[in-house]
Amino acid sequence: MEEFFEKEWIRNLFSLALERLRAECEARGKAIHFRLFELYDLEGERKSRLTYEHLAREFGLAVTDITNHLAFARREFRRITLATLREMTANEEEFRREARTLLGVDPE
Amino acid sequence: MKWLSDRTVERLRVAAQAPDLAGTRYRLISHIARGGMGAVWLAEDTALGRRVALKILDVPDASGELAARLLREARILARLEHPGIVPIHDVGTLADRRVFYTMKFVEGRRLDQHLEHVRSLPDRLRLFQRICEPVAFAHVRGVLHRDLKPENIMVGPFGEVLVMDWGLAKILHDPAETASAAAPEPTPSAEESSASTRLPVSPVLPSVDASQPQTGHGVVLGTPGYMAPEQARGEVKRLDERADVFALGAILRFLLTPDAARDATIAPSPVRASSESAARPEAAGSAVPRALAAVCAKAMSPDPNGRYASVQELAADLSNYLDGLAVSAYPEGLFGKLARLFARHRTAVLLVLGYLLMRLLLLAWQRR
Repeated sequence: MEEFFEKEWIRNLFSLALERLRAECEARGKAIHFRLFELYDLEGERKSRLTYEHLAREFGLAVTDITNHLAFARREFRRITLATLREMTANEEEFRREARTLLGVDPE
Repeated sequence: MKWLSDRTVERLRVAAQAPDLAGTRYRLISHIARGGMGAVWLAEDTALGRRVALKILDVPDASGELAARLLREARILARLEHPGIVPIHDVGTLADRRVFYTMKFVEGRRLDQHLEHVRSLPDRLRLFQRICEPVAFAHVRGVLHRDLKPENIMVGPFGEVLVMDWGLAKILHDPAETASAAAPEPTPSAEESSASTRLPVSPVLPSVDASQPQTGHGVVLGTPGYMAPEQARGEVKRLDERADVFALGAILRFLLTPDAARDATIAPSPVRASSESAARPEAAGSAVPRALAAVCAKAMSPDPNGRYASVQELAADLSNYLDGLAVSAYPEGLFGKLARLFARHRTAVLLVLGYLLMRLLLLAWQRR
């Protein structure tokens, strides 16, 4: 039962973080960054066929742009996830513990 | 709010853990695997246009001990240039100060996954001999692996064997290289410490003496079932090449009787790992030749003095077995020796016997 709640809690956290990332990217005129993140990192079924070169052709960008856009989206997703996690945890200790479990490293 | 599938949640977790390679010459492609202290990612070296495996620390490391261990692993790998040891290409730190190294990306299967494609006993033994080669080479260079197991052996598409994951390796000797490995490294400047995400890769790496064992006496590192008893007891200072000989014996047992070997690795007890019965493949009721079972048992002797003194000795005994010669681990009786000689020279013996039978029949017919 505990495992189920833990899983649902993580699902909820990531859903919130993903929504916030989408909103933030759109607000900052970086909707394309979010779209690339969705296509490359989330839509796993297509990923085996999808390469940075494919994306570059599809979006009319340079491969280095794809690299940078994806790096930006991942970095932002991580930052937003940690910010959301901080809101959802009661204290600093719990926040750090959950961050370690979830992301593997100590939050800065 | 959109509902996310389990698969998407897992992908998001991986994405959140993805190292930020901005400013490096590497481009992240996908996650490959996660080990005890680090994750391995598939990346592209954009300067050379080739795919590499990038290993990076992904567990909390406030003391910096794990970063030192990862760096030490990289330096050990760098001194082991052998076709059976995955070559290291580069080492560095990311903008977030995490240490990483890149190595050749090996496309292949782990030994435990590859085994079902190797049916015959001689083929399995030849595969085992190829595993012994890089380990023997490392021993000559003064390096113990200490975590040999099927999961750490990769078999490439052309049958090449690579021994992976030298994270627990121990340097036994080599004073000449110790001096250079121990050279002090500069410390990061304040500017580098507050590096933004676009800073180039810092050339600054923690100072690590690759020759110094990172494991304190009494600390147990390794995998149950493949750990020598002295290793399982944490007797780090006592460890020598024979600890790896034990693990190779366990791998040989796995190649001979995979199911029985898997069962033997379940109980994480040094007693279990060290028991003679667990070492003998025929204990599982399999049809393993006695000579091979004896080789296995000798390699996995609980007493290091009872084992092969070196990996070369173990490999030589297996070569002898494959060539139909006597093995040192199995003192055979007269009948056993005759049976082996018959098996080795079957055609010649059958020809001679046929010839003698013909002569007898001819003689009998002439007397009539």
